[in-house]
Formats: sequence, C-alpha cells, structure tokens
Amino acid sequence: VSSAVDLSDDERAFADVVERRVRSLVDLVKLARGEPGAEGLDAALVELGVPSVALGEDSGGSGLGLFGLVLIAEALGRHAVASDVVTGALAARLLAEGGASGWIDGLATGGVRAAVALNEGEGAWAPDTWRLDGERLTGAKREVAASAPAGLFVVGLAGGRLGLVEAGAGARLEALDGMDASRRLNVLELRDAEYRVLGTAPLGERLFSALSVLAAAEAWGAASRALEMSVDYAKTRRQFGRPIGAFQALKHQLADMAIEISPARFLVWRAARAWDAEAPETSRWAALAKAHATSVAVRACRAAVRAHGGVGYTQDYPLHLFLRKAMHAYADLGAPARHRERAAALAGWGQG
Amino acid sequence: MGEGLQTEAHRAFRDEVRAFLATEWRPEMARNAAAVAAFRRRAVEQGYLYRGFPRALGGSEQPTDPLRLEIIRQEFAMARAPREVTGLGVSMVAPTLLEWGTEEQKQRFIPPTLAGEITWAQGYSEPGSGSDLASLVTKAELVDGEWVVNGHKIWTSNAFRADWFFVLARTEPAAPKHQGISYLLIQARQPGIEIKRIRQISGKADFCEVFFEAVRTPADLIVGERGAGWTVSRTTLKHERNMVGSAAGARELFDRLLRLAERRRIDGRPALEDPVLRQRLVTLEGFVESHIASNEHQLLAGARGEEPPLLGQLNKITSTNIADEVAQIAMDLMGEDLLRAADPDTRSDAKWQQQVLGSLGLAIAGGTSNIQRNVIAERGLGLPRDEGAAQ
Repeated sequence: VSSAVDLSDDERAFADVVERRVRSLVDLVKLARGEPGAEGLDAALVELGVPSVALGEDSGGSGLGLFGLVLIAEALGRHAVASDVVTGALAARLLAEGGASGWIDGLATGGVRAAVALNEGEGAWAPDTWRLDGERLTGAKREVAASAPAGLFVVGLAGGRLGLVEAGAGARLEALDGMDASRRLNVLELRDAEYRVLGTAPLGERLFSALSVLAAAEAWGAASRALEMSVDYAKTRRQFGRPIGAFQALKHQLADMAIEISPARFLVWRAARAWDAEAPETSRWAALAKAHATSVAVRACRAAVRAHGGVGYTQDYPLHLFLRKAMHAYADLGAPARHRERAAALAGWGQG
Repeated sequence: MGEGLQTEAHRAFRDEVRAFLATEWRPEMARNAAAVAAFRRRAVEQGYLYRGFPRALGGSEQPTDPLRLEIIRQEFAMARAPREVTGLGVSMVAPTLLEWGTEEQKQRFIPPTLAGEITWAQGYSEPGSGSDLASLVTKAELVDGEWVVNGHKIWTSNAFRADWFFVLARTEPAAPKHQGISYLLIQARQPGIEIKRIRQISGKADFCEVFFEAVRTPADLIVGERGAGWTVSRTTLKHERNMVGSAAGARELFDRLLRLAERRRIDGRPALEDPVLRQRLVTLEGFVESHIASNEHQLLAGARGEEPPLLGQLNKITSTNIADEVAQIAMDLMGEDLLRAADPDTRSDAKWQQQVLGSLGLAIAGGTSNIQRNVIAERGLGLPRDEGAAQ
C-alpha cells in the first residue's frame, strides 16, 4: 500500500480513463436545465471496472482501494454527476472486510446495487449516534442516496455496527426531492426487517470514514471545476474594453480561491491513503479532510458565482451544479462543525 | 500524525537516525560551537544534512525523499539537535551558486556557507523599489577590473552580522529594466559601506539600511552573465519563497500554538475544552495539513522531474495566512498577557506578542501577499498580465 501523496503510474492511467469517459458522457447544459444529461454513466462505470476497484486483488478487485474511488469521486464532482456504482464498490469492500462473501460477487460486477443508510435525524450521521437495534429492525433512516432501486442496504446500527438488509417488504425507499439533482434522496422505512450484522468487530467507523473522504473528494472536484470556469470566464468576458481578468480585484479573488482549493486535494489524498493502510489515525484524517475540503469547496463555489456576475446566477448556466454539489457534500454525513469536533476529540484535546 | 504511513524502509531509517542521535548528540553540546560544527560534519557524512548538495561542496548528495527528510526533521527536533545552518546563505545563495555560479565561485563560497563559516545578507529592495524591484537604481560600473557600486538598499535582514552581501545592481543602464541588472557578491566589511538598523513593530531590529559609496568588488564576482541578474535572482527568490513557505515551519508553529492552548484556561477550565477554540484550531489544522500534503506532493512530483502547475506559487502566501490565523488565535488565548509589554527575553506567554506582531512581517518579506496574488493569477492561472507592471 502506497503512503505517498502522489499518483502511481497505474493510478494516473486509471484517473485519466475515468476522466475522459465521464467527460464524454456528460452534457452540462442539459443538466443545468434539469434534463437528463448523463445517460449511460452507471453502465460506463461498470464497464470501467469501478464496482471492484476497492477490492483487493486477492478478491478479484483491482487493488486501487479507497484511493481509486477518490479518483472517481473527483471526476464525478468535476462533471457535476454522482453514481450509485461508487457506493456499491465501497459496500463490496466493506463486505469483504466483514467476511460476508454472499453479496460480493453481485456488487463487484455491478449486478447488485447497494445503498448506505446512516442518518437517524437531527444530525445523527456518525457511528456513535446510531440507535437502531433489535431482533428485527424497525425505524427510519433519512437522506439515503439511491437513484435506482437498491438490492441491498448497509445500515448503521447501535454500537457503531453495520447491518445488511435485503430490499423487500420490510425495507423500502420513499423518494425525496434533493437539492443536488445529481442524486436522488430517499427515506428508508424499515418494518420488522430481517438483517444480519456485518463482521465481528464494528465496521461503522470504517464506512463513515470512507464516505467522509469520498464526500471531500467530490466537493474538491466540483470546486476545482468552478475555479476553472471562473478563470476561463475572466479571460473571455470583456468590460471597459478589456478582459475582466485583467482587473486586479478579480485576479486577487481568483487567486484566493486557488490558494484555498488547490492544496486541499492532497489532504483528501492523505486521508484516503491512511484508510487504505488502515492507519491508526484514519478516522481523524477523514474528519479533517471532510470538514476542510467541503468548507473550502462551498466557499470557492460561492466565490465563483460572484466572479461570474449575472450569468452565474442563472439556471441555464451550469455553475450552480457545482455549488449544489459542494453544498451536498458539506451537509451530507454531518456539517463540518461536527467533523471538527470529532477530530478534536480523536486527538484527545482537553482530556488532561 | 503521519508516523503510521511509512514503509518498512522508512521505519528502519527512523531507527537509524535515532541511533545516530543517541550516540552523537547531547543537548549540552549546543553551547559549544566547535562541538556543533563537528556534529554537523558527522550528520553530513551520514547523509542527514544538505542532501541536495554534492559531496565535494560539503553536501551529502542524497536522492530526493521527502519522507526521509521529514523523519530527519522530526527526530532532530525531538533530540533538539542542530540541523542545517539557518539563514539566507544556505537557503538562497548556495542553491543559486549551484545553478549559476562558476566552478571557482562554487568551490570558494558553497562549502564555508554550508558550514556556517560565512553568513550572507540580501541587497535587493531599495527605498524606491519594493514590489517593483526591477526598477532598482543602485549602480555598478566596471572600472579597472573591479565593480564600483553606488546606491542605497533597504530591508536587508541581518546586514550588521553579514560577512558578504548578494546584491542586485544596474550594470546596463541603456537596457530595458529587467535586462539591465546584474547579480554581484560583495564583501560586507569594507570602506564605503554604512549600515543602519531599523527597529520593527515587533521590537526586533534585524532589518537594516545599507549605503554603498564607491564600494569595490572583483569583476569575477558576478553570478551569471552581465544583465542576467534578474533571471538569476528569480531562482534565489523561488528558494526564499520555498523557505518562507516551508510547511514544516507551519506545522511547528501550529504545534507551539497547541502547547500554548494546553497551558491556558478559559473561564476557569482548560482552554482545549472550549468548543469555540476547538473549532478554530481544527479549522486551522485543515489548512496546515493541506499545506504539508501539498508540499509533500510537490517534492514527490519534483523527484519525478515534474513541476505541478500553480502549487509552488501558493506556498508562501499559505504559510503567511496560517501564521496570521495562529496570531489571531494566540491573541485570544493570551488574555490579559496581551496587555503587557514583553521584553524579547521573557519566558512567559507574553513572548507570543513577538509572533502576533511578527506574523505581519511574514506578509511582506520575500514578496508581499498582494504581489503573491498577482503572481498566482498571472503565472499560475494565466490571467492577463498587468501591462503597466511588465514595462
């Protein structure tokens, strides 16, 4: 397992292929208007082998780990899309870690779709806040992302454990309208649902850390694109007889966006490497990366709208897609303040 | 954080560095200059210091390995053992000579500079040439095989302790402003040089004004061609930005702030239990760790022969922004200690006044933050150049 804040040749090649493929499929103008603009994305990701990216080579995967999924999440963020296939790939990895072989083949080929259900309301996203428990499961999990019917739910349980629930009469999704149109949100209603606990040791913390890192990566991808669009706009839009990017006030605003956004990518990479190495500080790196990357991403995307002036405030212009994506990543899994408090507690601050 | 991410080879390397320090260094040696110099020589032999310089010039000629560098930094810091000599000689002059110097200049200046036997001060800024450095007017003329230098430099750090100056002077008055400048080495203690110290708001007085009146230096102490001084100095400035932008320095500053927070109390409780302070510290730590990770990526990419676009230009202002936020948090932690005048030698927490005020100097030295933003926007992001500034 590499610990370097850098890409290996294999990783770079993989990132390039994913980037090209996603770019070729996405029509930002259609997406901006709320029309289907990323058809065939899930199928393309399956074809690229994404479902088994996070699995080890001994389990038939490509061994790129969470870092591989981070590279995909960056690309999805950069093109304002999302995919359940990434969730499925992470679920396959967690099932492998928990020794639950049954579903892995289906997940690893993309034949089975998985959804992750954590939030019990009022910010109860993190493993230490889950209360769901019992012989069978009855209750609700909110803001569950699933754009197509899922076959398997990975559900957070009391004690930081994970449960596996098969879709069926006792477990069904009710769709909600989402703010970020790239994913459909749902409420998972559980009524006397049968389940089994994944693994012998609680795996909730592993899952929550991984999702935090992926949210950070997606937000980073979105913000880096918003910065790129703002720079391009500043070079081409003319006022007062010159490109607006020649004015120092705007130059400095764009420079400040770059100062915050560009280095944040490598904190996210660091967190992914720690997760793949199962390093002792994994949860802390993940909390730090999630809080930091989503905060600077939202700030950069808001600055991008300001840098564009009126056109950035219109629905037809795709910039708002990236802002919404950054905002989703910001609030998903709990707001940055929650993750900062986690990072402080994990460092043992204020405990003598 | 970070120790958990190393390979077996790096763990073995850490053990090796620890063993070296255990046998070769005792803290009481710090008071004995000869012992420090001898220790540095042994550390160079082991490959721990001056890794980027050839053996023949007093370096240890090691392959680039940021993790090893970081291990050396951590272990030496923990043992309170001296690392490389600090100052502009090692960070700016030696790398510039390595790139642009003649064989003779390298042999003469690099080894004693690395050994700390000669110290350097920078003669760049002038009263009328700050951010617009290329407008400088200090003049050098070749007369009878010697450069004769006349002019007035300012913000020259530690000029009063320097043995040598590296100076930008106008040698080709007819050429366009960037092409008329040469990079000269001038002995500091000689007739015609007058040094005046400038007291700063932090209470220190390490900046100076330097006046040159018919000061002489041999014709062969020019680095690079006549009129190439601007290009030569860009390498030097890049080294300075890297130094001012050092992520390890930002981490050390953050760790000092954490130790201050451990000592202080807010409303009768340990400050680190305060939820608002915890939020501010982690927010800052996100910037610190991003900066460190970005620097590490730059080093690894550099070792592959790549220079990632934009990132290098962000280092200096990122360190400045971090120091600024450290200062703001420190002010809140200091409480009433902020009100008392702190003499420079105080051991109380009032010494943080130095950092609080000194952080503002960081936003100016080596290119102000607004100049950094111009560079990022124009060279990093490719926005149109300011026509007035390019003249």
